[in-house]
Amino acid sequence: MKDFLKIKFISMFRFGSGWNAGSIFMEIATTLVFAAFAYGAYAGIKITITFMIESVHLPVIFLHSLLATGLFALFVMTAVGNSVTAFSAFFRSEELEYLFTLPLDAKNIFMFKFAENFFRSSTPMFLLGGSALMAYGTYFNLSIMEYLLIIFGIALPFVFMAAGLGTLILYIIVRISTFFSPKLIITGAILLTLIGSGAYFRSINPVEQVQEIIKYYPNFEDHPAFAQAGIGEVAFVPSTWVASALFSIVDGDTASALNNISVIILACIGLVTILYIVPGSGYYKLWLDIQGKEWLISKPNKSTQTNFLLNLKLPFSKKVEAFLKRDLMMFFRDPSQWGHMILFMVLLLIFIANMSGLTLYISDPVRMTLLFIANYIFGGFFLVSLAVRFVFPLMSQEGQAFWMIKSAPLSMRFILSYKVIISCVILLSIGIPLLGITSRALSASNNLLMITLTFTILATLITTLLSLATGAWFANLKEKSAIRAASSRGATVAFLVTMFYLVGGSSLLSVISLAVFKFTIDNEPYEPNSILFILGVFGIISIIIAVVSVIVSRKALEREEVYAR
Amino acid sequence: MIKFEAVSKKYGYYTALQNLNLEIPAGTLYGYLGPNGAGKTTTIKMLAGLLKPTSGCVYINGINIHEEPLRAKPMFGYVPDKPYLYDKLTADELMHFIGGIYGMSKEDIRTSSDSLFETFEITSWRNKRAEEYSQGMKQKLLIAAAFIHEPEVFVIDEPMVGLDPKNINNLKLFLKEKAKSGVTIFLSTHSLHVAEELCDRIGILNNGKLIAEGTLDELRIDAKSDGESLESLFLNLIAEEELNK
Repeated sequence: MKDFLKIKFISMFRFGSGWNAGSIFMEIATTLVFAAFAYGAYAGIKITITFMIESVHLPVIFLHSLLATGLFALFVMTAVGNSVTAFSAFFRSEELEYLFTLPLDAKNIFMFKFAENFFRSSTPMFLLGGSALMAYGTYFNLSIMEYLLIIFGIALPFVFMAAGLGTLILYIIVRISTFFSPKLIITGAILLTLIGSGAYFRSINPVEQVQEIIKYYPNFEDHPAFAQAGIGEVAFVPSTWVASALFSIVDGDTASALNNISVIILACIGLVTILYIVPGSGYYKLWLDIQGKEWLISKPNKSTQTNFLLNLKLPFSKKVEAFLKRDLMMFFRDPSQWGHMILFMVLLLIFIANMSGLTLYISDPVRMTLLFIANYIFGGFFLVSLAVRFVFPLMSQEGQAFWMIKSAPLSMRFILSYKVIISCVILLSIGIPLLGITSRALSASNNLLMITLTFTILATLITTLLSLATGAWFANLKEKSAIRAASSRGATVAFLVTMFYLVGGSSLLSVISLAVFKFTIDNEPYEPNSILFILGVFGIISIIIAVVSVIVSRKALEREEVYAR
Repeated sequence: MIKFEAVSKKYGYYTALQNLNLEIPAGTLYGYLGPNGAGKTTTIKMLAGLLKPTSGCVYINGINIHEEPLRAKPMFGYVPDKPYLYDKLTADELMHFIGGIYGMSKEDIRTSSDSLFETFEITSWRNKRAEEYSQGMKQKLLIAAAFIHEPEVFVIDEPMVGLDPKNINNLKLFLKEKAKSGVTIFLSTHSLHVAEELCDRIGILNNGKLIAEGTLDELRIDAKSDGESLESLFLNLIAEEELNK
């Protein structure tokens, strides 16, 4: 096992053969993007903490209460994300056919796959987590010992627990699926996750938390019930332990901090032990059981009827119609694709429903702008996540059958245009209601709403182009799973680059929204030309990025080492 | 008609193909032979428009495939050495997808598919997804898909891979019939007896260089051998080339 791990370790860090100017440039650019993102996240989080505590005068304990809510969302996302990517890693990886012929203990293979899946799909989380910790630590002036305690006693066990729980749930689903209908089990698991998350959010009610802040601002000390509120209402979730431990550290309550840390570490050890013993022991048998049983993904097709879609006449050219039908059939035959899409849509509906019911009490244009932009960035973050998850893997999803497209009488311009238009239409049909409805609840002005929608349309187009360009450049035609493609290093770059653009755009939008809020709240007039100028700047930047994205996409498709193998 | 004009291909410092000059008239069944790593697949990928030559030109019916791909590609059908296709699509759906790309009407796709499925014994599998197919079945489906638009030039890398003897025989008859009807067929293979039995002309490639070319009889004359099998001829030519090096 030691030798095997050594070779795997070496291969993980071995880059592609043949360095050239292009690949060196891309490596440097990628590193710069990672570094800039890490710094940006650090600065952004530190400014937010400073603003919340020093400007809004939010009690530190309440800040940690909000943190617990955020961490719960992170916990669920990590668990769900890991359980989805783990299916490919644990049951569909071709490497397993080789590994199981070697004299290796299945338990070790299971744990190795768990670690590999965890580290491979968690780069953005580590970057963001590291930056958040640095910002948090600098603000609260933590010592080296406290940093180490947080990293090894809190952060790592926390994310390991989330990933472990996701993997355990996946194992149970697959195990039960061999006896019952897999679709029923998967639907049940999705419903359980949604009901559980819904119940948690109902018990702590984040919208109410925000409304309370707005309501009592800035006189929190006059409302003791608010100022001394505990961290989260639900004590048995790891996010509450983490937030409590962090609060105890900054509050100087060592005994309470160690108490919480002990609970986190013990829970993590317990979960990893369960993983090693239960799924680890039964892993080889389960893997054997599902071999050849493609019904885990889809039942064998016994039908002799021609697919109705083939006879359907669509109002497009024959080429576009052929691609549309192919993509529709392939999307709906891959449960990881439509399942993930449903999950995204449910989250979207919850967010829109919550935001549209939000009532505001703020009469300060600056804080109103901050709230407005925070909502816009959150909506944008959702849109970028969708693009990275579904648009980035589009070229990789062409797979090793790409030779069919490349040897056919199709121009690469057609392929790219088709993918851009389809993706853009889908993202716009999500982005406009998302940012339109939520911004409407906050903007209190039709002008601002129209400007926001213009920003959204441009941002959606650029998000699509950037995701496709990075997806084409970092394409891995051998990767069959769209989810794994969307959690690769290239996908992280796509996510970061698109977020940079979006945050930049949001800062321009914030200038406009501040002027509009000053007008609607304080009756302070603004210069319409300055708004047009900002819109123009955003438009020009967007056009430049669009042109670069198209050039990168076209250059990427010319790479024989990727697309002609 | 296929024409290679001074075609070379380099990967960095490595020369995979060196100055290939070759003209194959319409209706010829051409066998392209060579040991592993000789440059056969590189040649075929350049012919299919998947790789760009470092120098030289490749023509299909007089059209440069790399300069005017949208004019040249409708004239040919291609099957690679590994039968990769869309696992989630059925044979019927794949034929409609490929036919759609070539701008065929639904009726033409259906007629053509029915006939090709019959020829390659795919009819009973036409509504099953490719993920349920054996390698041989995938190979047959790809050959059928390559002929859906009735190409004038057909290029195939290792045609017999994964096929059982009955299907090999079927394919041989099919290819001979197509060549007779005027289709130019360019195939690369390691099965020397297949090439011997099937091909009108043969080219032998070694270390990126075409070392012999012609009909089997012409190759025998060139090699000053009398009645030797293609296998012996091939081995002798390769050994002689290595010795000269």
